[in-house]
Amino acid sequence: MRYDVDTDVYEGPLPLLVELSKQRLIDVFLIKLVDLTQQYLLRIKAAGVDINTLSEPLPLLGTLLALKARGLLPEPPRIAEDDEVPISLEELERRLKEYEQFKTVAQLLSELHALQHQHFTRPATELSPEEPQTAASDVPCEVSLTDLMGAFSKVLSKVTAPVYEVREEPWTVEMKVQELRVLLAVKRQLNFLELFTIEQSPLELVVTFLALLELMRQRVARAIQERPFAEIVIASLEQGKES
Amino acid sequence: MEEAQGKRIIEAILFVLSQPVALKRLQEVLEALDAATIRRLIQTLNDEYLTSGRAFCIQEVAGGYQLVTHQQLAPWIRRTLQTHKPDAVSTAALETLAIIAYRQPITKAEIEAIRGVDVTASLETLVERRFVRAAGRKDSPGRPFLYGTTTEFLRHFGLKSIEALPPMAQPAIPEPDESAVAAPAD
Repeated sequence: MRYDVDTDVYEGPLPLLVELSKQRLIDVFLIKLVDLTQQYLLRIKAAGVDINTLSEPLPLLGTLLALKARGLLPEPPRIAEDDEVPISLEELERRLKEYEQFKTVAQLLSELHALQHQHFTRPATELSPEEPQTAASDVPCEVSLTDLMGAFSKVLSKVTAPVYEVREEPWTVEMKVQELRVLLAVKRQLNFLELFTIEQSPLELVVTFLALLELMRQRVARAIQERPFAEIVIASLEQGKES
Repeated sequence: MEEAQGKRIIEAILFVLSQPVALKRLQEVLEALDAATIRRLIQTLNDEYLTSGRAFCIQEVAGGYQLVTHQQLAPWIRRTLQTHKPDAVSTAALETLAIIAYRQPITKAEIEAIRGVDVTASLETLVERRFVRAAGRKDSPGRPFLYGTTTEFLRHFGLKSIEALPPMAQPAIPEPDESAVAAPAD
C-alpha cells in the first residue's frame, strides 16, 4: 500500500522520506510533523477503519518523530570504534534488492493465504467448541470492530467526570485484562454497557476498552449481538481452550 | 488387504479428521499397504472426485493429507458459516513472515537488518497466530532466539512443506486449480 505525503520540502512516498531523513539527505527539521499528522488523520476519516492499512504509516511517522527528537538532544561524544562503517553504494543496493525480493514474496504469501482460505475443512470437533450449528436465524452475529468503537464512543460521550492531571497510571491494560477475565470466568457473559459506568474517568474507560479488545484478540472473549440492534454482549470463549 | 477397501478406509479417515493426516499415520493404520500404494490410492480418490465433480478433494498440505471443499464453493460455505474473509495478515507481518520462512532459523536482529525497522510487533502477531515460533537459540552473545515457521503456517498458506515455498529469485504463483488437487510427488 503506497502512502504519499505532501510537505513543503518533500512530496512522495512516506518510506522514502523516512529513508532520506535517516541518511540526512533531507533535514528532518524542515518537515512539519503537524502536517503529516493532519494528513494521516484526514485519511483515517476518509478511509474508515481498516486497521491493516491504517497502521502501516504509523511506525514510519514514529521514526520521523524519533529522528526529530534525537536531533534536539546534544550529540553524545563519538566513540571511534563503534562508529558505523559507512555503507557502500553497492551494499546499499544489494540490501534494497534483497528487501524488494522479500516484499515480492510477502505479496505471494498473502495470495497463497487468501487462496488456501477458499478451502474449508470440517471443523475440528474437540478443538473448537465455538460456533454451534443452529438455524441461521437465531445465531448471534459477530460484532465488528467499527460497531464496537461506535458503541464505545457513546459511552465516552456520556462521561461526566472531569479530566484531572495524570499523575501515575492507576489502571493498566494488564490489570483490566485480568479483571475482565475473572469477570467473564464467573459470569460467562455480560452486557457491553455493564463494563462501563459514567463515574469512571475517561482514562479508565479507555483502558477497559483496550483490555476488552485485547481479550477478543486473544480469542478469550467475543462480542455478539442476539439480533440486529440488540445490546452487544461480551461472551467468554474460555472453555475448552484450557484443555 | 484389498485396495478398494484400503481406499475406502483412507477416505473415511480423511473424512473424520479435520487436520492434515501424515502419510506415516495412514500407514500405521493400514498396515497391509505400503506408502507408495497409499499415495496412489489417494491420487485415485482425487481423480474420482474430479471426474465425478464432487464438492471436495484431498489436498496435500503441511506434511499430510486433508479433505477440503473446492474453492469455487467458498462463497456458499462462508454464507453458511456466516464468516467473512479470513483474518488478513498485515503487510508488515507478511514481510517478516517471508523473511523468516526463507531464512529460518533467524534471529530478530537479523530480520530487522533486512526490513530496516523494528519487528517486535509483527513478530508477536506471528507467534500469537502460531505461524512462527522460537525454534532455538543462536550461539552468539546474548543467545538470541532463533525463529522458524510452524506446520500451522504451512496449513494456512496451503504448502506441502517448507520446500514448496515459491522460489525466491523469480517467484511465480502456482496455478490455483492445480494446487487445490493433491499431486503427491513420488
